[in-house]
Amino acid sequence: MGKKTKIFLYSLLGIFLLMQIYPSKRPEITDINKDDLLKNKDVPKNISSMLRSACYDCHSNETIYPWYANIAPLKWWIYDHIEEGREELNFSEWNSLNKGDKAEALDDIATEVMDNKMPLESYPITHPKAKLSEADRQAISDWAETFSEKLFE
Amino acid sequence: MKKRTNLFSIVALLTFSFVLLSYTTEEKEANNVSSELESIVIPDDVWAVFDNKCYGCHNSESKNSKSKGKLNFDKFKDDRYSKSKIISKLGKIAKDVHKNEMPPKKFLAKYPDKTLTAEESKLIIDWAEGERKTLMGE
Repeated sequence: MGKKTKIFLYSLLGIFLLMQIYPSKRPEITDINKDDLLKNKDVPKNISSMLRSACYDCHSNETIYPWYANIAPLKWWIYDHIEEGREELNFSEWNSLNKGDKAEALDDIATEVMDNKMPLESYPITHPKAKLSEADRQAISDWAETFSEKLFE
Repeated sequence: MKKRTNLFSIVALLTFSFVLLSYTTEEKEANNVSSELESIVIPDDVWAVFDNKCYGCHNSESKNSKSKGKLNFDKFKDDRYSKSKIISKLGKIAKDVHKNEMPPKKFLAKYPDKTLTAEESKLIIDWAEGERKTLMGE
């Protein structure tokens, strides 16, 4: 190996190591979420298990971090997604929302899941359980619609 | 010294336009109701804005399935949107217009005449928020 290649590889390693100590805040996990959507007993089992496996990593405070979520630069990207996801919709805080905001969230769930916008395309690659079939998507969307209508009955 | 005069004139101009804006919108308060449905009322002046600047993409015949799927004004009729859907759509209309996300920037680059004036935005937002509150029983 030439001297130049060596220097190059060592600097790459150096940059990689520096990335690891660069401070970044990992979105916190909370175990007890009294306002969680799934505390509502009337969410059907098949729906709640799909929401858990396909949505909860980013849209709740109960994120399950995979091992590679500790490695920069990947972790920056993952933390970013989780933060954004929770900000947009956090199922752990569901019951603290007012009815109108719930209706908007359910409207978004119905359309985005149907339009293959959610879960994000890259997510099921490493989370096979998050892969939703057409029928799954239809079921989630239908549930969101009826759940929303029930809010105003 | 010059900086201060600049600042002063900007503040004065802003105040002036604000006063002018609230005056012009106040004048329009006598609304005629054009389409009365069981659950929603769109006054003439509000509908004029929707019809002119939004309906083109947000209708049942629209070729843009994305905009049609997110909001379809035709579905406000005949109760094709459930009450909760209407409440959701009203909230989104108010938010998106307020954030200047609708009409989309790309679309406006092509059709600048579809830009909402400050007055029109306020008219839509006030109507949507008011109607939403009424429907929610607030």
